[in-house]
Order: sequence, then structure tokens, then C-alpha cells
Amino acid sequence: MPTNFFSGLIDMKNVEPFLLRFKKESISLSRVGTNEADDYDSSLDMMMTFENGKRIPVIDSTKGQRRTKKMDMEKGEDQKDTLMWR
Amino acid sequence: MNDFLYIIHMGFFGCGNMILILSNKFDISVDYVVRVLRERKEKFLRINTEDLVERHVSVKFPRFSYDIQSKTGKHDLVKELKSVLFRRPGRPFEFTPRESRPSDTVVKFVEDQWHSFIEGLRCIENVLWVNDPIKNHDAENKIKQLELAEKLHFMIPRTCITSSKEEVLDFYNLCQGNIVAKGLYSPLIEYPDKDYFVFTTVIESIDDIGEEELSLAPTIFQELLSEKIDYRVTVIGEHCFTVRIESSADKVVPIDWRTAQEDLQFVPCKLPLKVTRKCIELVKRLGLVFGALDLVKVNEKFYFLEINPNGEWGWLQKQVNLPIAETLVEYLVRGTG
Repeated sequence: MPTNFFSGLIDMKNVEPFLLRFKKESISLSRVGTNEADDYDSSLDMMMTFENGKRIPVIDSTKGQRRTKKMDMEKGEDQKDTLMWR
Repeated sequence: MNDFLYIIHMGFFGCGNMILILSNKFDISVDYVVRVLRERKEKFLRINTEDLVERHVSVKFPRFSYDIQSKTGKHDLVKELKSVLFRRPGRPFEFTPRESRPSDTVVKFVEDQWHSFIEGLRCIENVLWVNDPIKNHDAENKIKQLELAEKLHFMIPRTCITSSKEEVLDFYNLCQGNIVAKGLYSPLIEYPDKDYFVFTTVIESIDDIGEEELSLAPTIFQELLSEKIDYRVTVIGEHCFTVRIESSADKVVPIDWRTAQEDLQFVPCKLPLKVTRKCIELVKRLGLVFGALDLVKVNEKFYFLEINPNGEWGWLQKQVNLPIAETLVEYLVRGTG
């Protein structure tokens, strides 16, 4: 193992944790990125969108899911509930 | 208020009928809950916590009160609160363009203050939390999960969580070279420009693994359960909703089914009663109301892999039509009663 000449400690500056060998780029949108037609309606407490000329709740959209399971998983939300938002 | 009246006032703690939802405005799963609450004409308040900076709040002593301004007026949560759906609270300024935000230092300070304010809600007695954030956090620990699952006589894959190459070698040989690796904590890696994720990965060879890269952080190694069928089990109190995960094409479901793109099917099914009871018990023992468990079936035996205490479920509501929002509302309306 390489050691730091001055401190005698193991030099880890250029070492990455083993698991990072297998990292894959998140391909889904980030949390913030949503369809441009979406807007939050605070009187309904729901995200709305336009579809076929009508304003409808995003959960009724037929254009597929905005925030897929996979996306949330990739973004770590499903597995990272640190103290609230930390 | 004299002492007698104050005692009566104190007696009203937790006797409210308000359901509080803490999340962010992009949390579409909560929209399903909102819809059910509206249909049932239940009293609720959705707070997208990234917008808290635009609200007026105050906590006062003596005579503990916890006031939050909403579009319909001021609510004293000490008197009104019955239950909390704790989903995905947003950070103040999280969705504000960087150029319109205060400095990072200020944002961090603001976050910390709001964090404490929200955490303080846990002081209000007789309130049902789905789930309590501290219990969520505790239950995230994969060592704790496996230890509890074993106590409950769940089958679990042989596991070695280690930072030692020697241990990995022994474990690799024990499992005859069939092992996977995964993160002990959230395997999300955030770089300034891109995010990365580490899914469960089959380890083909250990020859070139360096001691240093292993010693840098402990890693979960588990025996590879091949020929498996994946299950996602969503527990809400005494209710258990299960889907079997199948490939819709002529493909095998990957080791980590989350890596599959579009060709997965989620088929509602029932678990054997004994397994269902264990799932419900595990969630209960972790102090949770809600939990999303990952199980696999190998040779007719069910293995526990992990639990996501605040797991995502909107995809099951929509694609598979499972009544998860309805069941959550049932519990939220019931409160601690």
C-alpha cells in the first residue's frame, strides 16, 4: 500500500472505494426536471399539466410517468432518507 | 387561562382532525393521497417544505402552540394535528434557480433552522407519523434490517459486510465464487455535473481488487441468488400489497431489477401467510407504519433483501392499480386512535 512520506499514513488520495468501479450514470431526469407543461396548483395541492388542450392532474396523464420508480431509485430517494433533508 | 382550563386545553393534545402532508411539490405520489383526501372531504394541509420561507410560523410557550399559516388561515397544530404523512420534504430554495438564491452558507443556515422547526413537530403528542423521520432514518440501516430479519426467521442471503480483502476472499470461496456487492448506505454519487448510482453488481472476479479500495469503505457482499423471482412488498400497518416482478420480453429480470429499462411487468399477487406476517412484523418492529420490502423467491423459499422505509409507491398505484393511497388515507384518518 502506498504511504504518505511525511505522515506515514496510507495515501488514499487517488483511491476510489471499490463499489465506485460499478457506478452508472443516472439517465433519468433529476428531481427538478419535469415537463415544461407542468405547474403546481396550490389551490388543488397537485401538479397539473396540459394534455390534448385540457388542464389535468399529472397523475391522470397518459403520457407516461414523470417520476418513475427507476428515476427515484437512481436518485437515491428510495434508499436515502437521511434526517429529513440532510 | 387558569390552571384548570389549561389542563383541559392540554387534554386536547392530539385530539385534532388535521392531516399534515410534508413533501415537495414535485412529489406526484402525494397527489394520489390528496385526491383521496379531497374525495373523502378530510381536513388536510399539504406543506411543500421548500416553500416554507414564504409562510409565517410560530411556536409559543408557555401554553405550547405550533402555528402555521395556510391559504385558509392560521392553524395551531398542537390543537389540530391528528397525523402526518412524512414523504419527501423539499429544502428551502431547492427549486429556486441558483442565481436567485442566497449564498450557500445562508441557504445551509436557513435549512438548519427549518429542519429543527419540522423536527419539533414530533413533540406534539398522540399524532400518527407515517413514518416518523427518526424511525425512517434508523430503519435505513441495512445492518439493522438484516439483523432484525434474521431474528424474525426470515431467510436472508449469506452476507459479509467488510472492508477487508481477506474476508472478501474467504466469502468468495465460501459462496463458490457466486457473490454480489452493494452499498451499505445510499449508493448515489453526486458530482457537480452528473449523478451516478451503484446498483447491486455481480462480482465476476476478485483477483484485481486492491486492498486500499476495499479498506476505504465497508461494502456489502452477499451470495448470489440466481434463478430468483423478485417481489416488491408494500406494507401499510396490517395491510400488505405485493407485486411479482417479471420481464415482459423474453428476457431474464436482471440481478438488480431496477436496472431494467421498460420491459418489466408488475403482477399483483399474494405471499404465503407466514411470509406476509413476517413482513408486517418487520415494519412494526422498526417502528414504522409504512415500508417497502424487497424479497426474492428461490426454490420456493422467500429471502429478505432489504426494506425501504420511505419507499416509492406511486408507480404501483398507477400501473398496477393497488389502493396504496386509499390505505394510507385510512390510516391517516384513523390517527393514533
